[in-house]
Amino acid sequence: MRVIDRSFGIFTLAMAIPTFTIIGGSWGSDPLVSPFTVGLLGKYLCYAILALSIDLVWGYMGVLSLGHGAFFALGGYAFGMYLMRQIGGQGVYGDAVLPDFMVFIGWETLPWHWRGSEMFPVALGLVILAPGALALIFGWTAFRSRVSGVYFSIMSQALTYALMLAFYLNNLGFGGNNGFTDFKTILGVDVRSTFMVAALFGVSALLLWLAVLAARFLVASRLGLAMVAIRDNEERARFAGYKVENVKVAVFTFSAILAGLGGALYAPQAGIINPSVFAPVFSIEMVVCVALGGRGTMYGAILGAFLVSFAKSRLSTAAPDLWPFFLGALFILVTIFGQGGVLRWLKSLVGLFKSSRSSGAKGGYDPA
Amino acid sequence: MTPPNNPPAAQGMGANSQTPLVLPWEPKALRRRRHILLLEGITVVFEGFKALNNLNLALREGELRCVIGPNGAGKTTMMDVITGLIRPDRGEAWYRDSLNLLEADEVAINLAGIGRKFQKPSVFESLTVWQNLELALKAKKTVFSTLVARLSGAEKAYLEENLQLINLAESKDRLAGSLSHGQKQWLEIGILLVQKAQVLLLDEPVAGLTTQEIERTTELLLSLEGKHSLIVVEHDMSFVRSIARTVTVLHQGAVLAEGDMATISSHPAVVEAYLGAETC
Repeated sequence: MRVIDRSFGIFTLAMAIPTFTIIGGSWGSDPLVSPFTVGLLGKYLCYAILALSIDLVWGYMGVLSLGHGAFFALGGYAFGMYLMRQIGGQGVYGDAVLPDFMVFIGWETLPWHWRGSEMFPVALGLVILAPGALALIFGWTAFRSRVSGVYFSIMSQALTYALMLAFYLNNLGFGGNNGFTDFKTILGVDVRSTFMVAALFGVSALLLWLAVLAARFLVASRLGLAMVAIRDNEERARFAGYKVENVKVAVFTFSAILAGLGGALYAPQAGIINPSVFAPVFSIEMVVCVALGGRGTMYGAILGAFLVSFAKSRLSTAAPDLWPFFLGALFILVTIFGQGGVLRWLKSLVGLFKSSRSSGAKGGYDPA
Repeated sequence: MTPPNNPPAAQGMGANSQTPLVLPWEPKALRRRRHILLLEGITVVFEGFKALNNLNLALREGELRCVIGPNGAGKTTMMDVITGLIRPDRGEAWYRDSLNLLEADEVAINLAGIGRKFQKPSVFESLTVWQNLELALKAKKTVFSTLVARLSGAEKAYLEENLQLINLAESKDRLAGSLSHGQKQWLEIGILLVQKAQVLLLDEPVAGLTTQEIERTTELLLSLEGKHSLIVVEHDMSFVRSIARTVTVLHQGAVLAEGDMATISSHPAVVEAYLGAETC
């Protein structure tokens, strides 16, 4: 596989045209695209980044993480700390230093782990460091002990569940079950301004594009072959001279950082980050996105994230109670009928179309 | 390769140890230096059952050794010990005099130069033949160097050369999963070759192969003799006859007999334990 090929060209166009159209259409006093819609699509882009990061470890390396939402949430919280500090004296309690929720629970000084969070570069560093460090420690512990398959999946789910419970605690200093909300500015610019909404959306699109590029570079490298080799036959990969646990830890950490970056962009666009993002069901939803779109393809994960998010926002306004059932049914259907997911069906549709016009269509399925 | 005779010195080591050229008075370090692979007194117990019982095996550089024995004799367990999959309860295992096989992990053992073909052909099915070989190619295999690795012209030529050798040059862009059983066996041998493994452990390399494929494999293995050291575990007696120089017969986890095919075939204990049961 080459890093830049026709599929990547199509993907780039499919990203660029709507992105520029939407950004262009969001200006003026009576914009074509409402800021609400731009923000919503920006959120979908963040989900797509998370789905892509899951596909990288699951689709290519066979490591099914049911707790990737934890890294997404940590990124969101890390950037959320900065957003909370930016509120400054504009908060309900008017405290120049302490975020509202700390005043509310009676804290008088900023806890140590919030120090420096008012600085944008520190916030960015933390966005990468927090999910990265957790993934490194968790991955190292699990993979070194050769925890794999369903056992790893269960452990990753326990991890995100434990973090969810921890983040519900007020004493942890992350706002308890309300989390962070009521954001005002980023770098002094109002988060609700047309410019900032469009900028966040644009940055999310750019990050997704860069993430796909980086992931393609990874997958096309020999390390990418090693990932697929580990998915196919872990023992054989060891006997080919690869330290399987090192490969897994490295790719898992990279994937977690990607998820964290997605989360960091999610928080300001959603306007809130709270412990529900740590909930196992959110992580599973993201795994369903990957399965639906087609795993091990990258584009499939992105497509799946958009389809599921769109369906969710439609269905959860019409019949919110039905959503979990719909999600479950979708997962079952994809598992039974959808080997290769929506992307595969699309490909075979295109293939049918092509072969009906010219008989010399190329067969075969590109695994990478 | 000269067919070794059983020296009288071996008699002092007990009935299980007719290993030629292992002299009982020789210092261990010297003995390790003379052999590329040396197993001494290896015992593996699975829940009271002795899978290997005081097994001795000495392989010289460039030797092609066949290991035969009935099912459950301990052939695969022996390979598991050599490759670090199983830690024995007793004994010593050395690769040259440089690597203690009982302390190193699978990856270290592989990187030192011991390659293994599994009984069930194991290749990376969703990679192409070429990618299988590229992945196996001897190179620095840390995460970072693997990320930035690119095949050089010389490396490409080397892979092409080995593709010819394993008869898969025309199938190099096919997925390994779509190969025939015999081609998978060859690809797995190719994987060991491009790793530049010094010791090749081949577990049933001709199982399930057609007659022509067996002939081809025979040629291939004979051409490797001298350049690599090989241990071939096989049930197919006619194949063993066609490649064997020295044959080691395992029985109940220990060496029952060792020598050339003629010696082995006429060995009364072997006839009783193994060959006698053969219907061919």
